[in-house]
Amino acid sequence: MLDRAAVATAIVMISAAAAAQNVPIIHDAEYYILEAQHADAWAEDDVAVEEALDAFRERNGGKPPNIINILVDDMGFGDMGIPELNAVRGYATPNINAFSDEAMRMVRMYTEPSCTPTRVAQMTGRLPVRMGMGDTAVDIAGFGLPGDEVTLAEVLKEGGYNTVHIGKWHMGDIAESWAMNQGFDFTAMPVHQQGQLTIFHDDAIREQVAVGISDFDPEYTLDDLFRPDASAMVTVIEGRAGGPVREVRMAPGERWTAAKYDEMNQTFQDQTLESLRELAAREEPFFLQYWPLLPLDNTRAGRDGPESPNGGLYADKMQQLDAWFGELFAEMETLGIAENTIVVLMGDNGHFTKYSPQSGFTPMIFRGGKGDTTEGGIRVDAFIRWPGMIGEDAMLNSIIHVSDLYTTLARFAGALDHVPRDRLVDGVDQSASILFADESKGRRDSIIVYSVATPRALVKDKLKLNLPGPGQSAILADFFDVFRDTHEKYPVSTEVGAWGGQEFVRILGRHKARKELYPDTPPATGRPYEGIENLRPETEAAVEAFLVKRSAVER
Amino acid sequence: MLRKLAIVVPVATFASLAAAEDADRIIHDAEYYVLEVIHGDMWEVEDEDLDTRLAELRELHGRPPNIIHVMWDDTPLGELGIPELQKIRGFETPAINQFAAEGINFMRMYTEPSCTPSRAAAMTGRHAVRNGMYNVGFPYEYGGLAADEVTVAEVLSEAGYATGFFGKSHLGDVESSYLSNQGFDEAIWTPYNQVPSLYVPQGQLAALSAGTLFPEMFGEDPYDIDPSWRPTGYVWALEGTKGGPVREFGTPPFDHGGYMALEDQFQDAAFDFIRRQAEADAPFFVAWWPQLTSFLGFPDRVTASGGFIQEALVRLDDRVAELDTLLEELGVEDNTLVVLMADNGPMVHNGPPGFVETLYAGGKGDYTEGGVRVPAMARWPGVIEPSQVVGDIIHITDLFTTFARLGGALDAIPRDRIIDGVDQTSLLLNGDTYSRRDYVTIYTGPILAALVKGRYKRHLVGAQPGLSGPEFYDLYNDPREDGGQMLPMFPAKGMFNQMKLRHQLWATRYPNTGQNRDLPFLGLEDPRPEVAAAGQFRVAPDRLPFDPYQFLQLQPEWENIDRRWSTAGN
Repeated sequence: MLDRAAVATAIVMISAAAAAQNVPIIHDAEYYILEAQHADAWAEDDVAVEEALDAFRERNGGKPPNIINILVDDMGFGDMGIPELNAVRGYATPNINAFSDEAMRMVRMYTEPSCTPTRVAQMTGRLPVRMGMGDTAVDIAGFGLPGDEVTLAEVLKEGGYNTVHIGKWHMGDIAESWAMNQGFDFTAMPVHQQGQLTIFHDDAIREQVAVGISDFDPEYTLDDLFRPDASAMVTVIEGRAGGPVREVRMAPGERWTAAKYDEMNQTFQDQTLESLRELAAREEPFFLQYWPLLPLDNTRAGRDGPESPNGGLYADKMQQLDAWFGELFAEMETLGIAENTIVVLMGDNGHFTKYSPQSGFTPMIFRGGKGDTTEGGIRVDAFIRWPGMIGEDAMLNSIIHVSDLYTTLARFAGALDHVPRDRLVDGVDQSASILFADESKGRRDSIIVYSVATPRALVKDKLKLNLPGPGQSAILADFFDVFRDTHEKYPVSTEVGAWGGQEFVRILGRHKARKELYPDTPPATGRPYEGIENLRPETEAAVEAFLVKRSAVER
Repeated sequence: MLRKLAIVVPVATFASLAAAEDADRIIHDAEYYVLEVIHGDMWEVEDEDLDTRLAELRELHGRPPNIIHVMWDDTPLGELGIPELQKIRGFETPAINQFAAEGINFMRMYTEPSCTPSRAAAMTGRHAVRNGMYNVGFPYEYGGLAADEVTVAEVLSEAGYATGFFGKSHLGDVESSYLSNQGFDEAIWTPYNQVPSLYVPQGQLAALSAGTLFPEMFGEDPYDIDPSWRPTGYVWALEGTKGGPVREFGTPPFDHGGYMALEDQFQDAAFDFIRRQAEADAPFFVAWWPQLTSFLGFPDRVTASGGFIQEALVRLDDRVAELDTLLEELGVEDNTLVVLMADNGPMVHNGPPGFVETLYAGGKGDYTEGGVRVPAMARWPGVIEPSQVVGDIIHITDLFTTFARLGGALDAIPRDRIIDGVDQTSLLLNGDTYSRRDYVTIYTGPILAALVKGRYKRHLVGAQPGLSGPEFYDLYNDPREDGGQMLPMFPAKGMFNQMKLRHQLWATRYPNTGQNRDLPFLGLEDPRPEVAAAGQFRVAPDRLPFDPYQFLQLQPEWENIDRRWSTAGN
């Protein structure tokens, strides 16, 4: 096994500069165990997939499909696309429900347990731990996705696509990590996330969404650099690949507020529709990524609502988002691109339970939410629509990890050759199971569930092991059957552990052993916001404050 | 407590409530009248329209609609009729899902929290607490539904319906509870639940404790000097016809194969009944309440889940498909309302493996939503619009009143007691938002444990006496009742207080009664000796220094209606 991987590495090194064709992508160990059993069938499936893709391109003027990739924040399983559960929640997502009737639901889509790692996994096809991006940053942090990661946008760019990213990115506050420097022709994105944008800005502090920040007399405060100022941090930046990057819609001294958040969200929606029209008018296929910041919205300031019987802060905004997606889908029809465009729509991780129940969402069918490695943290609503190519109103129960979309979409785009062969790629090609709606063609039956940099759980088909903590006996580890027990409430620990405990440990062992061949690397670090042309004075000061604190360890 | 309140609160309270009373009107729970005052005019207009539509249907078909009520055990809301969630669970019920798509899929059907109370509630249109049917019966229960309770079968019989019951009754082992004595023309029923499926030798090898039922299977226990207490004279099923004899049905217990055969036998009998009635002149009402499963499970596993209840549901699905085929064959589909539903949440406490929560927290026996919210669907081609997801509250007791309305039998509903079931004909025919109920009183046993009003819920059990704690829930925001709240929902406190008080005061005017307590299996034709022995005290009462009949009356706080022993010279 190790030998085989070593040989593969050697081959990659020789041919790295050349076209990657015929050089296999390097995967994690479990993949090869399945491959050893299914290689012949997979080879046949690959031929059938290529035939189907060829036939599509022939119908489509020789071009691969456009791809629209929508990622919704903190949306657990069952909150989109199931009218019955809409009724249970007391809100409605009619446009998404109609969309889901035309799409395939990837029922067992696993994400990472929070925003940054999920986004990293989808963009790089790799577990975030591989480049130290498992953590979720809130304020100025001076690190991010390394420039030498090869994002899906870069892969598709190589495949001839025009690429645009609108909305949340959340993969770092240093220049090399930003979307315009990671393969997108045009980008409009906030550098940070909703912590700054809706949780600790001035209005939110007034409503006690955040406390201990400026809601008191700082009589005894000695450290003026300790607390972030949402308005001093960079807000939204825009830029083109290779061009200047500028902060938009913030004048020096201006305060970030709930109204600014609303304006930003509306602008992202408008920019998405504008980009869609521009991209559709061009000759090349396009990759449009829309990652809204809604439904997260933590203040009542500026609201007329409630808009739904539920009335929860996020539930209402989910309805808003649904209306916006409706506009997007309608615009696709108007532009005549609904038929030749793949739309992926999914949540990025489970509910933000810290804001339950006033958010309007609490976990239902699975236990836990964002940050948890129980199914509620990592299983989300996920759909893929491609008329005529992917079954309508279909369901696929294969285990799919969010990183698999990287490889699979690259395959659909005819750009698989541009997936790097010099590193371990966790995402496996699921195109056969998706195109033919056939779980037996899936290429993954396991997930290693990380929390930041530590494996916390292992999923292997219907079974799940919640790993024991450091120093804890393996006998105390809990096994669950996730079909029978979606809430992971009733352990079948000895019943499964008796025969499977060791084998589960070996899954982890192989995963770790493979890291010796393909070691994890740290994230990129640097000066925050470097390269933004119009930094405000208060932002410069905030950066200086960060640097003072960072350099303190060197004194 | 109640008595005290009744004294403190002036009688005027009753007088104001009594304004709505009228000898001709069905007596509902107090909360209903609040809604009636608000919506009564609109309901009247709706009712006129509904009457017209029902009359037209009656004209068209020459009879009121047939009604088939299929009810089974322990299935949480979300488990059926939502294919996405079945994928997650690793099983599929295509026929039931199709059924849901052809009619209404109710998202807020409330039941009582366990089998006996739910079944009694469906039968009588009354909360089980009103007639003492809140205890889950086991061999021997020495109790059951009292004779003067009026069942839906009795009501529909008055309107000329042929009535049949086939399956699990679980309404008791005393003679008054025999379904052929409770309005059914033809009935085959189990007096208990599925637990007796374990009361076989295999059960003792699997789940029963050593020697609890079959001491002879284990080494002799020289200290066991009273082996005669064991309930070995139970029956699996009984059969009878209205006014006719009642006999044991199927094979006598102890051969598990005989237990497993019952499910087919119930279905065959139900289908035979439907077939015969479809050709007769009268409309029919069938309660087909399958057993679902033995507690020993199925020998073969056919689902990815392999879970206990999931294995049972896919088999139920086949039976539902067969019912569809039958109705189509007979050409009565368009004049037949079919309701499919479960009787309560999953047996998450101390049950066999595989009974787990789906959407809601808790299960059988709990007052949380997981105990009392179940999958429920109604289909009536041409009358109920297809593909409806209904978010209104409906309660299992509502079926009683609604079936009576549809059958033209409202007049047969008794006017001397509270009928909790409200008429939901408008909800069936007009769909979402047309419910006549926004409240549920949730009892566990005889205890008022929780109140639901619209989206809000208050837990009464565990509340801090004299104060308020975080006992308020918003079921949209927090469907799993994870985080009780106090301050955000305090405005609802007074409302809940009033609701509880109204409910309790109204019950002092129409007091709760007890179930019938008696010796089991009396009046059977040709009983086996063991069964006959079950109907007698195992030692002669006159040789005891106390009166064993008194043990059968362990609900002394309520009047027992028809105690056999009250005339037995004790």
